[in-house]
Parts: sequence; structure tokens; C-alpha cells
Amino acid sequence: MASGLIRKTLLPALLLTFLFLLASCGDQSTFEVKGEVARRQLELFWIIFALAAFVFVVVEGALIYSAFRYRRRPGQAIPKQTHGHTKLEIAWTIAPTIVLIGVAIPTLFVIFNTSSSSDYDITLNVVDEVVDSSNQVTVEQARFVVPTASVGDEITVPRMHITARAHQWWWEFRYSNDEIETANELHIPINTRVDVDLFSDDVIHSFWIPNLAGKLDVVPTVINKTWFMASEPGIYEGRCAEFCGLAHADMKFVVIAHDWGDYDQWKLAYNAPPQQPTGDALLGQAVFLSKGCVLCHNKDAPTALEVREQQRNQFMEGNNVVPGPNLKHFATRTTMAAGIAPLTQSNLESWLSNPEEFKPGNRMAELAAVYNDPTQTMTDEEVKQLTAYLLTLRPAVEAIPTPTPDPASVPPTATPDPFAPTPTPAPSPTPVVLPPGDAARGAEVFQTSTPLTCVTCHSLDGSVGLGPSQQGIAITAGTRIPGMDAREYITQSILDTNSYILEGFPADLMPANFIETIGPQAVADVIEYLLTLN
Amino acid sequence: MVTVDKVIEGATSRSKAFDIAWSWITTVDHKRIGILYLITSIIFFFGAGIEALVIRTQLARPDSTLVDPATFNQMFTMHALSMIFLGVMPMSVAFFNVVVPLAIGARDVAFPRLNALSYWVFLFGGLLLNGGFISGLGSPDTGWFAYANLTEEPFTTGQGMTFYSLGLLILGISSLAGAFNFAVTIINMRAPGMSLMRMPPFVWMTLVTSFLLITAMPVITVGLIQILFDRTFGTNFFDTTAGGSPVLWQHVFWLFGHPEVYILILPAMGMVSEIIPTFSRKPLFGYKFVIFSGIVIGFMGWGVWSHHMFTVGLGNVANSVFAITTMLIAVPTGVKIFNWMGTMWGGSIRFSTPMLFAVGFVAMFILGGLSGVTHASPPADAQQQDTYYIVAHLHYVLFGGSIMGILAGIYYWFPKMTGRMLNDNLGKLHFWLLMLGSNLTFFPMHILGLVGMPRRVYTYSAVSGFEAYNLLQTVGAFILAASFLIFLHNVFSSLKKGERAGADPWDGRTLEWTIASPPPHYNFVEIPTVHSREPAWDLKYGHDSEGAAPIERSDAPGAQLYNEAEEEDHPEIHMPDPSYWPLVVAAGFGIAGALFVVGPWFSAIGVVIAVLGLYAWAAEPVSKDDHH
Repeated sequence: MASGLIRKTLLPALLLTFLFLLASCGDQSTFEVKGEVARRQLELFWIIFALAAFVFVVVEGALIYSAFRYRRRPGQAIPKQTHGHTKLEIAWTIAPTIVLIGVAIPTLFVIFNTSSSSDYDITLNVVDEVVDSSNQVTVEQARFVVPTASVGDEITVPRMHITARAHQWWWEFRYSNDEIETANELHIPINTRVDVDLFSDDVIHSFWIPNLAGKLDVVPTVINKTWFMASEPGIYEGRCAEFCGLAHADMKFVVIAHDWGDYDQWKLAYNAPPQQPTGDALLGQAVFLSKGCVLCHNKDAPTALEVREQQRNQFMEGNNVVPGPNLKHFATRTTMAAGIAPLTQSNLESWLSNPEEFKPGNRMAELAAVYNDPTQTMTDEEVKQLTAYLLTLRPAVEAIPTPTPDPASVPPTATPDPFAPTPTPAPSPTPVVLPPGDAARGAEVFQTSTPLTCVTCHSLDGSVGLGPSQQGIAITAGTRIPGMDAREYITQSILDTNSYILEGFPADLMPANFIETIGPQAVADVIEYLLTLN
Repeated sequence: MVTVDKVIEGATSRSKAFDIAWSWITTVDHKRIGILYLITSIIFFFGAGIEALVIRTQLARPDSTLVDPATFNQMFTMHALSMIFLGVMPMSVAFFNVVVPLAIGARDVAFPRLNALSYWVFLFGGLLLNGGFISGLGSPDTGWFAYANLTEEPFTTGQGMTFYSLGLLILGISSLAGAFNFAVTIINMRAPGMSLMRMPPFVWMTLVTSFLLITAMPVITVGLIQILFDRTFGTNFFDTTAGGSPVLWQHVFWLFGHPEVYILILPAMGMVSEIIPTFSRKPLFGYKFVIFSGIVIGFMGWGVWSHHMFTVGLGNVANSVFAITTMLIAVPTGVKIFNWMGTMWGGSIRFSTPMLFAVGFVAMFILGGLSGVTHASPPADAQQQDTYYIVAHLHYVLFGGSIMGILAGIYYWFPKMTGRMLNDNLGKLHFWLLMLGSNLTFFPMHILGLVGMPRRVYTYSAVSGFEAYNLLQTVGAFILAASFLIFLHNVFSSLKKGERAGADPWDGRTLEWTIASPPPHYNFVEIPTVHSREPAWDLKYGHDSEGAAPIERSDAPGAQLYNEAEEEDHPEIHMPDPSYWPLVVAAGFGIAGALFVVGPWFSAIGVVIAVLGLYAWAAEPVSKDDHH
């Protein structure tokens, strides 16, 4: 009979097709695993898939068999009227339970070891030692500055911390302490655990990089935390996975994973000043400034969070302003309009002349005066000039310093990213050599340092703020850890702020990069100053 | 039929067509209400199918501009809403109506006029849900689960969400009225001797589904009122700028939404549990286990809702707990599948169209269940959630499951409803085209999702690697559509010239097969007394001398058993009179909903109509002969 024939041939054929097609999948496939989290998720999927496939074959097989075997034949007597079989019932209640236990156990493990709240350290083996002056050691493909490591050691991979803010319909990425802000392109070093805090500026989105990690929703009013790693350099597509309105399909981003050297280079380039516009581009700059682009788009530096807040409030109140992507070094990006098209001159021109057609539903077409007020429409000439200007938004070549690994700026365990706030290495005396300090200058730094002033959190009169008061610290510091004097304790606490967290105060709150932000001299001065507070 | 004839006789000035229409409009007969439900839900089902074809045509090629994203979003939202609330749910209710009173040996449901109200409210609710298309004011476009705070101003403007919340609120009234009616009917109106454990499995699943509706509809009602009030009166339930919580909506929605999944599938499981025994000529294997599995599913369905929210960030413990409860619910589901196969095992299986669909249901549902297990695991789900993999899964359970089961039911009970058989060859053609079309449409979605295509995107780029799967799916969707055209043709031609069915065309086992097709409007001249789970079978077959092998009874009453004659007048049987007040009350609800769009206070007009209608209804005697 045809029914059985189809089931006998069609279903196995479908299954085979399934397995075959997996081998030929696209770039953003969840089977093209390029990172630790996605790898763990895929392994779990294969375990469940294997069990499910087994059950599928057995059960569908039995179904097909009984459909064939017990077809009614001419003249057949009425079959025996069996009503059930208790032992059989118990057996086929227990059998699926056992299979499901086989699914549940690995599931529970992977839930915890892919979660951001788990503090699993990712370790890699040191396989090669590069003999050069800066003591660099190759850890698989990653180059870490690990002066003490040698071949065969297990090295804990470094961690870095970024914030992703989702907007209708683009992504904003901030590196810790908001020193770097990019839009729709996330640069990371390979073999680094990237911890991500997810914020939404409007509705629910979902952060998904199929090659690197499964998705986590971005929920307004909540800060969700996730993490991922890339194991090799490359460009990985990410996108919003939760339906978020008109341009949901066009809310993409790319993750660009670099070797460490390239990553350092990118960071240095980010901080370099932009090229000077000339000719058409200079005229384009005038367009940019006069047509109101600057209301939503910052192009010079990370956008202050207060500005983002104001922009969002303006939008909610129905004004023609909305948080817009930061355009700093825009011309260095590979994609545009939230990852939906390669950044080329012609794409940029069509986007600027008719954004609604390029990316239906986007807020720029809806809100910007140049697109919804006929008196302000840009001429073709102006679009060309604006395009030329945007394509000069790149670092001036001569201004980019070359990266030089600076052992003094790097803690001894592998934490090469100065933006990582909480590397949490085991507390140990820091070999950083500080210059001689001056207590008087330190007092001034304590009251006036930027961007954060010590006294904001640490009072001098014993009152409790966000951090402990420094009243009498010169005495108490020497009593906290047996065998450690006040100078050692204070120095360690400032250089590695999570070393000794007093009870009742949160960890991870105090910035950990004073060497970079205020400089070694100021740090030394503050230490001297604190040692005078008896 | 007696009512129609009487009306026709008494009407000299009115046209015959009007009289027939009027008799249907005022009917309180459960069989006619069932047919009204079935026709209406099939029309809505075809509407939702056309929406699916628009979606599939748009996605056939990359970078397609056939429809804009705004239209596309309305299409996928309305496709889901219509299929679930206007297609599958009312189709199940159609069978509650047609089958349950016959199968328990009752003359009608407990509250016949309330039953009419359920239908009319469903009709107006369905029209209101589609009000965006009808009025041109814009349909819901935020997906069928309409995640807050996307549903708030200023992210969603226009009237779409008003139609969404009011349409579903009014449909909820219909569901609740129907669910109470069937729960009371099943508990109170069974024929003498029909204990609970002698009830046919479909009746059991109707009872479980009714309790699920009674408990689940209030939950979504709360959420819908929150949305409506946020948008209309400026409350802050989901307004994040005022401290509202968008995750609250997800909990409310899925706390309703997962029991809803079982509301959609349990009736189909009940139908299959009757069809497989009939065509295997064996009793349902492990009746008690099948029934208890259904009940257990009904309870456990309340403890798994957060598996829709594994990527929301509820935390490791919540995800672990809901992963385990979700896996556990696969056990009773598996038990049902094994028992259906146990029924077929050792049977004498005739593959008429209903049986093909029933076995097709089992085959497709197994796949849907297994893909469900893969996303019961949160880390695996993290890659699958919001992709076409989920779309594949839900279509295997809702199309391969619910729709296949309901189609089995249509082919099975159509003769009982109409007195004529559906053409078996056309039915088989329908089945095989549907199997081909649905697997072509839905199977590649598994792969498409895993290679990274998210759901609810109006287009995809040509370099994404998604093209081949999408094209295949679109081809499948059109084959599927073609199979339903064959079905429609079959229905229309069989209504006119289909083979006469007789009382018992399938060698049935339950009470409805002991009375004429279509049954007289009072169903049973004499209420039968039931001695076993399969009263109709026992009338026909006994046991041989050793009491082992069943044989045809020499004293089988055969045709004499059945009231094959045309409807006779039985003045001693009191049936309720027709009434148009249920329609008036339902219209009041519909008008209240429609006017809400104009301005909330205009709804008062509709409410006044509904309240006056209820008073008139209360004052109306059940029947003119009623002197109590």
C-alpha cells in the first residue's frame, strides 16, 4: 500500500536529507561553531538529537510495521478484543522517562556552564613560547603577555567586559567605563571571555551570534548578562532574534574577532583623531552640522549616557530625536545601516537619499527633518558631499601609535585588556613599580581627580558612602591582613580593587584602571596621602 | 427536520430561503450549532491559509518586495491568531457540539441557548479580531503573543492592538460559555449506566479541555485588559518608562498560552482515540492510561509555561526547573502514542480516509514531540528559540497534530452530521497531497532555523544560504493549499451526491452510531442504558461459546436497531424552542467591541443591547409548551 511505501522511503529519506544538508550550511549557521558557548550548546543538541533520532526510528518503525502487518484482509475474522496490558503500560511509561533523564542530566550541566553567573574559568594550554624581549607566550592561537608562563601550563583566559545596548533597530556597544562606543560592530580579541551586559533602550530585543553563542533577550528594566568567546579571528554575524517592530529583520550587527595584536591596534586607532575633511567632504561636514544629523549622531567620542537618556525621552515625548548610532570612525566599518549592507559609497548614497527604501521602518526616515520636511530635503549634490564626509570619518594614519606591550600596565596573570574592570586574580603583591609619591599632591588628587573623584565614594569623616570611609586608614590598613603593612594593603587595594572587599560593600564597583586613567604618579601620590590619615 | 418543516408550514408570506436562514439563526440545536461552528471556522481557517500563502510567497525569494514589512507583520500575526482562535479552537468546539451529546446519550447540551450564544459571540469576536482588515484601520502586527512593551505607545500606534485585545476578550466569553456548558453537560447528562470510566475518550478529552478553558481564559483576560487599559486609559502595567514590567506580560500570556496548547491538541487526541479503535476493530488499548494521561497533561500543562521564556534571562534555577517539567510532560504524551499503536497492534485495520488522517496525526505528532524535547533543553533552545526551528516544531504539533486530527474527525463524523459519505478516493488524494505538502513546507524549517534564519523576518538576503529551503517551503505551501481545494470540492460534491451513509457507516463502537444519520433533532427517541464502554459494538457483536473470540451476534438488531426512518413526531419529547436572544446578546458584545475603536464610551451602546437582550432571554420560556 502507498501509505507504508511513503513512510518506509520518504521519512528515512527526509532524515538523510537533513543530515546531508547540515554539511552544507551557511555562514550564520549554529553548526559553524567558532566559540566556546556555541560549542557547548551544539554538543548538547547532538546528544539530544541522537536520542530523539533513536526514538523516532523505533517508534515510527513500529507504527509503519503495525500499519502494514495488521491491515485488514478479505474474510478476516474480528480480532481479539484486548483491552490493555498493565505491565506493558508501566514499561512504556518508564522507557521514555529513562530517555528523558538522559536528556535532563547533560542539560543541567550545560545550563550552568554556559550561564554568565557561573564563574567557570576557561583554560587553555600553553603550546609554544615565543622568545622575544617582551616575554610573549603563545597560548594556542592567542598571544598573551604572560611573563611567568611556560609550555604545558594551563592559562586562564582573560576576560573583558562590554555593554550592548539595543535600540529600534540597531546595536550600540560600549566597552567598560564607556571609553569606547561603537555601533553595530563589536571588536573583540580572540580567546577572551567576553562578558556582556545587555540593556534595551526601548522594547525587548534578543542578542544572538549563531556562530559564537545562543541568544539572550535584551529586556528593558532588566540587565541581562551573557558571555561568549571567539576561538579564531573572523567576522561573525549577529542579529536581533526577538520580534521588535517594523525593521526587526534589518537589525543586525557583526562581531569582528582579532588576534591580540590587531585588537590592540584597533583600540589605539579608535582613540586617534579623525582625518581632516577637504573638498567635497568639507562641504559634507557643513551638511552634517546644518541638517540636524548631530541631534542624534555623535561622531567625536563616546556618547554620554545622559545624552542617550535625553534622546530617548525626546523620542518618548514624540519629538524628532532618538538615540542614533555613534559615527566615530564610521568609515572604518565594514557594514552600514545595522549590518544589513556592506559599507560602500554607492550604498551610502542610496541610504542617505532614501533611507526608507533602503531599510523600511527605520527611525531616521521617520524622524529626521531632511526626510519628512520637504523644505529641508537634501539635494543630490548634498547627499554626495555628506557621503564624502562620512567616508573621511577614519583615524588620521599618522596619528595611530603602534602597539607596544607594556609589562608595567599589565597585571601578572593574563589580563591584557586594560578595559576589563574585574580580572579578579588571586591577591598577590603587585610588581608594578610606582614613582615616589607626594602626600600634598595626593590630597588634591583625592579631592579633584577625573573622571571619578575618590571623595565621592570615600569620605574622610567616617560617614559611610558607596565605599568605606578613609578616616584613619593609615592605621587600620595595617591591621586588616596579618603580615601586610598599611602601604602594601593600600597599594594593592588601589591597583586591584577587588583584592580586599570589606563586608557590606559591593565588589566590582570601584574602577580598576587608575594606572591608565590618572597615571602612576597620581596613584603614588594618593597612596602617600592616605598613609598620612592617622 | 421537524423545526424547519413547522416553520415552513406556518410561513405563507415569507420566502422559503428566509425561513431556512431564520431557522438556523434562531437554532438552539447542538448539531446545527456544531455545523455553524464548523463552517465558520473553516472559512476563518481558509482566510488564515491565504495569509500563510502571502507569507510564503514573500519569502520564496530573497530580498523580495512583494509586501512591505508592515503588511508582512500583520500577515504573520493574523495567520497565527486566526489559525489558533478562529480555526483550531472552534473546529474542536464544533465537534464538542456535534459529537458529545450523541456520544453520551443526551438529547442536547445542558444549556442550549447559552450554546447558541457561544457560537454567535465567537462569530462576532472573529469578525472583530479581523476588524483591522474589515475597517482598513490596521490589524494587529506584533505577533500572536504580542510581547509587551512593543505593544505600547509609541512603539505600536493605530488600532491593531485594540482589535487584538477586544477580539480575544470577546472570543474568551465564547470559550468560557462553551466550556461551562460542556463540562456541565458531560458531568450531568450522561445516559444511565455511563459511568465516567465508560465515557468515550473524545468526551473525556472534551471534559479536560473544558476545564482547561475555564481555568486558562481568565488568565489571558487579565493580560488583555492590561494591554487595553495601558493603551486606552494610560495605565502603566507594561510601560517601562513608568516602572511597568514587560516580563509580566510574558508570564501572564504563557501561563494562559501553554494550557492553550493543550486546549488545541487534546480534542484532536480524543478524536484519534476513537478513530483508531473503530478502524482497527479493537477497543482502545489501555483506555485508563490514555484517559489518565490526558488528565495528567491537563494538570502538568500548567507547570511548563516558562519554557517559552528560556532566553528571557529568568536564571539557571528557573530554567532548570522548567526544563525538567517540560521533559516530564513528554511522558504522558508518549504513553498516549504507545497506546494508539497498541490499539493498531493485532487489529484488523481498514485504511479509510479517517484512519489515514489518524495515523498521519500519530506519525507527524511524534516528530513534533521529539523536536519539542530538543528545545525543552534551555542551552539547545538558546540557539533554536525565535528561529524557524520553533516554527517547524509548532507546525508539526498544530498542523500535523491538531489539524490532522480534526480532519480525521471531519471525515469520520461528516456522515453523522449530513447523512452522506465524503468521497473516499478524493479523501485519500487530499491526505497524500497534504502529507507531501506539509512535510515539504514544515520539515525544511527545522534546518532553516538551525542554520540561522530567525522567524518573523519579512525578508532575508541572497547571500544568507536560506534560499533553497525557503523556495522548497513555498512550493510545499501551495501543494498544501491545493490539497484543501480538493477537500472543499469533496465536501460540496458529497453534500449533493455523496453515498448515503446510513446510521453506522464505519462499524462504530460508541452511541452516536446507534441513531440515524443525520440524527433527529431530539437525537434519541428513548434514552439508551449503557452497560459498557462500547455500547454500539456490544449491540452488534457478542462472544463465541468460549467467550474468547468475538463473533457477530445472531440476534443483532441490525437495521431495526436504528431509527433509520425520517424524523417522526414525538410530542412526548420536549425540546427547547428556537430563540434569537442569544444572537441579540452576542451582537451587543460585538457592537460594544466595534464601537470601542471609535471611543471607549461608545461601547455603552453595545453593553445596553447585551443587557437588555439578557433580560428578554431570561423572561422567555424555554418552550411554548412549558407551563412550569
